[in-house]
Amino acid sequence: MSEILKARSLTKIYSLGGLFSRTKITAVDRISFSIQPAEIFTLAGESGCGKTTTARMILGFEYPTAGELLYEDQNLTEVRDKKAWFKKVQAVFQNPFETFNPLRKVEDYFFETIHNFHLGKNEREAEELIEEKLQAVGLSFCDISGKYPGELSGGQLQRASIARSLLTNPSLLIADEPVSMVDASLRMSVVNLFRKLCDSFQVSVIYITHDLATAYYISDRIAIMFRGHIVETGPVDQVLENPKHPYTKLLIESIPQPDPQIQEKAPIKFLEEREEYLRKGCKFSGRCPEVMEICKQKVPDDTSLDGTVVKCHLYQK
Amino acid sequence: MGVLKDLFKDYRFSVGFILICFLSFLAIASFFSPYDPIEWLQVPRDKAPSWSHLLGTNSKGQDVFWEATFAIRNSLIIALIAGLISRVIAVLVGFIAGYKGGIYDRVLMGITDGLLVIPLFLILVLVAMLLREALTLVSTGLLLAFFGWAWDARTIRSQVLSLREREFTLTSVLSGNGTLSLVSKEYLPLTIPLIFSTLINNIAWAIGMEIVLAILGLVSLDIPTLGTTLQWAINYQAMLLGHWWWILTPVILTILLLVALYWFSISVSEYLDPRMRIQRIGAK
Amino acid sequence: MKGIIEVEQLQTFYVLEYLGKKKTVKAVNDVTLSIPENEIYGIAGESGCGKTTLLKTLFASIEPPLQLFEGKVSYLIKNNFVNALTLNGKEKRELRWTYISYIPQGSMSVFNPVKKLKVTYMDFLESHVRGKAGRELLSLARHHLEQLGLSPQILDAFPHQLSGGMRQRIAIALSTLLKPQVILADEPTTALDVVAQRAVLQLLRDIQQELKNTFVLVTHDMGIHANITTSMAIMYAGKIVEVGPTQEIFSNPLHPYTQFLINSLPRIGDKSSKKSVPGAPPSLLNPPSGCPFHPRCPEVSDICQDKMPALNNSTHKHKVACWLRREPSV
Repeated sequence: MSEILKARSLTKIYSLGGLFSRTKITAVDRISFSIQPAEIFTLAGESGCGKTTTARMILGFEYPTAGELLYEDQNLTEVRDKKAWFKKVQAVFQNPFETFNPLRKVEDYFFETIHNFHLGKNEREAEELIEEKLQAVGLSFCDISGKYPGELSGGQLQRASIARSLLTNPSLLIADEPVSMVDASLRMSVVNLFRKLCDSFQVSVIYITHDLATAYYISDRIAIMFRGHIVETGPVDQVLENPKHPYTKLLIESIPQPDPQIQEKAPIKFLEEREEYLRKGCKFSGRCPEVMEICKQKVPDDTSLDGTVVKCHLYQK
Repeated sequence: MGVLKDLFKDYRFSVGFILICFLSFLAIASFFSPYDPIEWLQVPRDKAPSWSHLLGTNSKGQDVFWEATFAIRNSLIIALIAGLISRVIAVLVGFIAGYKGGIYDRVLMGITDGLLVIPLFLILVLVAMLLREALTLVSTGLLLAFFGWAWDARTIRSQVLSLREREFTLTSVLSGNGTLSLVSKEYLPLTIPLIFSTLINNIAWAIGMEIVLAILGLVSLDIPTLGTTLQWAINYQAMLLGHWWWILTPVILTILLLVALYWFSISVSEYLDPRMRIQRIGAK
Repeated sequence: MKGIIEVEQLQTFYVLEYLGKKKTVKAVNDVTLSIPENEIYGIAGESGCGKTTLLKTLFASIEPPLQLFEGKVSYLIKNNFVNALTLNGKEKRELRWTYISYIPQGSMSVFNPVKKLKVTYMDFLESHVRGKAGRELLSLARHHLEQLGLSPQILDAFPHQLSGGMRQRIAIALSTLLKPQVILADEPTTALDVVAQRAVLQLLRDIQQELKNTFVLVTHDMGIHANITTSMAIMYAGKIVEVGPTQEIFSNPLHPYTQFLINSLPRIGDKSSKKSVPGAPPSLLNPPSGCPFHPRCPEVSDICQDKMPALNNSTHKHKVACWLRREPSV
């Protein structure tokens, strides 16, 4: 099977600070991954691990400092026509209340998308298309017609946002924390929706989250990011049921389990983001329980192990 | 119509609106004036108000009431020219600098800051002195417009900068909108209240500035405006001679105009405030 | 048994008047609660169910457009109950920080970005605490942070130099500086990722164990409740629908809403399909008649549409407001 998106040594470097004390932060550090057709791929990690920067690079809102992003063997950095790109890659954002301009009707965005991408010849065709996509997410046109974002609930808005992104029949959907602001009682219905879209519309989804429990629930493959590196990647069952990298273990252990029986957890160390980004060697060495001398000197290479790839000295021969 | 009905529930809007209507009515009345605004000695001089001359006559032999109608009209013309043209500049500069960023931002804000740091009043006086006789209504308006946009361009830019970071900007880009439609559909509705309130403030500023220039004798004194009327009255020592009707007319009209503009602006900008608008939309 | 805060039939509504139209948002609608001493008490509910308003009322901070319609909130102070809602401004100020503290939502973003943390804090403390000099308070704060395992040097940093998790922990640590008996925390872990969340929870637990005081923790995340609270209340559309010890609520949820909330939580190692509650959360502007959950409830019956069930007055600590779970009438 051929990949639809391939990232090769993708890198983004920001330089921060004033005129005299510039520090360079490698927000995304030579990461490589690929997306298969009709799969859900999770990019997981804590805030400031580079997952959103990666998403913005795929959407073309940021240019990579180095490396390449190939969509069907076409290099994204050479794509001049952004509109053609958005026809294939669309996105859903975190805050449903911010996704649409509060002073504009939600339906305007649907008609605009159809108009700008020439998806319908007339009003009737446009409405049919909108109805079809809204049906797919469990809404109908009369639910949103004539309404402003303030009149819809967070769940409805997030569904509408997904429906809008589907109008162009994209082959890749980027979902940046799409459920973290949706009400708890509705969250799973939105999560289930991604699975359904993936299965019935053959859309691949890049699901960006720090919530490993939902990632486990819907995704096929997962990549755990830490301070710009992908530290572990592979099929989701492998990675989350049998974690190898100490950081993956920490993340899994930190999930608040819905089980009051296990309340006490071992205390953890907590370091500042900036400090870790500037660290030499393995970025996790500052709080790794199994740290070795070599970890502080050298960034580990990727090692293949039982179908997963781990970036850790523990597993290097 | 619902909009006006809602607005009239605010007394500040009602009073401001009535005052502005009244003053505009005066300005329109000038077209029916039986007298020429520039000619001297058309009526007996220095008469107190009476039925034949509602607000009396001045030492130049002009009817104060009809003179005032011309003054209002001309002052409003200057202020509107200044306000509208400076708005166009401020909006363009603010939006381009804010949305495009980078080199556009640096160049445009460089110019803006340049205008902001020079002592505006001195420059205005200097230019007015040089142009003096050429300073007709339109050119005075343009002069004020040229110096009146910098601060507001900065305000608009900062608002656009914050709008650019909101998620709906990305949604709009993903919907295939280009820069122009993005800015006009997404940002303009949210900045209209700001633009409108700066417009009214700018009009008030232009009226005040015209009066200052006129009192200093820096504009063509033949054309009656609120400023030149006042200048003539002071020049002829109207207060000292007890011709209160001559000096009080422009003073009271100016105060009425400024109060009306102020109330009008705060009530309308409160109404247009996006937060209030969202509440209203939600309230339906 | 009486708790440290007793809430009786509380009704606080937002009364909004815009251009002559009056709207009442029934944010806290007939809430009766007893918050026990020396434990972490959880209040769960989704956004817009009135949980933040309830917390504000517990803090006796009722400012227009929020209005008190009925009920009272009593604080247990030195074995005496004091009605907090009738106190005057000065009395309230005396209780704040020493008896009761409030950590509002997003308090990690309230620091002044151009001032060092200690400056913001000193300004704040000096206006709240009489009779102590700034320097004395500062050394107290440093000592307090050190006790909680946080580096006291952090006070010399600017807010942007710290991550959200660190700022949140400092906000929490400093709100407990004067050892209040009750601490109200509104969504302290929202917008933090799991690792930072864990650090914040760890801190809450440490403080509670050290001070032996009461935390009221409001969050929509059931996982957090399971992790840290001893007993909890479930709030829906301005009403409390279930209360009880956390363990019992998780092992035997009684209200259909609670059942949905708990069963829809995904777990690693469990691939079974999860369903969320059908329908959408109600608007507090005109909540449904009877039991507010009835339009979404799979087990709805006629009586649910007409009358709101009260919390059953069983002797158990675990109570539920649902017609399905009534004992047969005597």
